[in-house]
Amino acid sequence: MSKYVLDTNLLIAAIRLEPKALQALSRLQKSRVVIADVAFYELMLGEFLVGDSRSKEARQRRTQREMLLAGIDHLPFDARAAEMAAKAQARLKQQNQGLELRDLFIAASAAARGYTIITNNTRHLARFPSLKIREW
Amino acid sequence: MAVKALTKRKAIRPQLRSGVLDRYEFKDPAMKAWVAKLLDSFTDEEAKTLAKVARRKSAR
Repeated sequence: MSKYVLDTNLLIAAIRLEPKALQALSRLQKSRVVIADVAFYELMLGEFLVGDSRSKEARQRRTQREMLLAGIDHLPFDARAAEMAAKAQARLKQQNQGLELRDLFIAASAAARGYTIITNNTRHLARFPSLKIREW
Repeated sequence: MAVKALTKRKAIRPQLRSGVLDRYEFKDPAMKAWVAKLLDSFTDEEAKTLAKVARRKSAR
């Protein structure tokens, strides 16, 4: 069964409590959802950029995040994804186009398994060959 | 007296960010539980920081 990859922009919009993002998530089944490890990296930036990592609340939230990571299927950036990312990047360069590296890695992770990415960044991600995209 | 008044006062718990999810009808309760964890794992301040980082990325 094909799965859906939640792009970072959807996750961040949900964290920001944006109704459209929460609506999109409410329609999904957890068993069909995966999160790219690259997206998790992007989410972790929030904690470290704010710099409040010593307080009791920050420690609690870190525990919650560990549970969050354990509670959903991960989509790794593996060797197959790396190859697809490299090929896509070279092809885009030939066309004088580009894709932000984190987007490239998430797109390649999804494309390597034939998964559909749910994003609002369709304009950029459509540059990635054969990537299945659904807009939220 | 003041101490007594303080101990009598109800402890005010900060409202969980996931409380907002009650406005949505989730197809899958497991998904709702996971999204609740997602929302409660971040503060409003962290959410703002993440949004700034995302905006900078999409501007590239």
